[in-house]
Amino acid sequence: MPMLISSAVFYIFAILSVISAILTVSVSNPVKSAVSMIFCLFCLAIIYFTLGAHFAGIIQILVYAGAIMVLFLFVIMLLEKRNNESFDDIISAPKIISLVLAVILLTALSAALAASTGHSGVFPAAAESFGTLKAVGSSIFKKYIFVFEALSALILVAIAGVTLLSAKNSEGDNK
Amino acid sequence: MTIGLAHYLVLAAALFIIGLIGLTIRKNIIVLFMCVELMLNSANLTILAYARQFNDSDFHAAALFVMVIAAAEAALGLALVVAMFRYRGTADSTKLTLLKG
Repeated sequence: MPMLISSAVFYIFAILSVISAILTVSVSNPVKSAVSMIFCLFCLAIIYFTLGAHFAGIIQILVYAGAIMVLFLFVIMLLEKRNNESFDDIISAPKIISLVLAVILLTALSAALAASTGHSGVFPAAAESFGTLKAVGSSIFKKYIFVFEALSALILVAIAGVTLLSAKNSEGDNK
Repeated sequence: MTIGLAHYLVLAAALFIIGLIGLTIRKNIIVLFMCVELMLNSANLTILAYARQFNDSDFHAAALFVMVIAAAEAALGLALVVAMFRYRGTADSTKLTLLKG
């Protein structure tokens, strides 16, 4: 019975995430696009939970849906002057070619994945400490501490770059 | 019917392809950034599915590092979009033809 429930949860949220991803790509209003992207990220967080990745799911909700997408929404509302993309030229030849190529790529990827995973359908039983905060934390702060420090330097550089870009803008406006 | 690695990988492939289609057919640069985020998320889903398959929590650290890089990319990219909007007055990627000879 728990197996059935977990399959149902996976299928429901997989379908919801794919639908909301398609909406993200196809809706012409960027605000609606961002909101459906947030919904897609929530569904993906629940799919992470079904994989036993609780910490990654929480961080997905907090950082992605909570911080990054709100940043996107702010920038959209700051910039947009109600200029929805016109989809009049949606039936142009390059778009059709790209769609066909994408569908071919998807079928090829799915066939290759289904053929090559080689593992039997079911996941092995999870270890006792799998995905716990303790295991993930010791992995980050012991094994990959240099990666962690390099990423904090990267974030620092990003902050400096964003500050520089905004500062130059305000100078340009003052002139 | 049980859910295995292949189900998660096919879902990740579908999300990646949707993001790729979005990158090719959309013009608004902010929406293009969201498509890139979608593709990064599908990569994260692949990493976490393999973490479950190999029973290894190190993969979770890798997924978190991908999220950090995505956050930095989104912040810098949106700052660039805002700067470009100030100078050019548009967020349409087809109107940015400064380098076209």
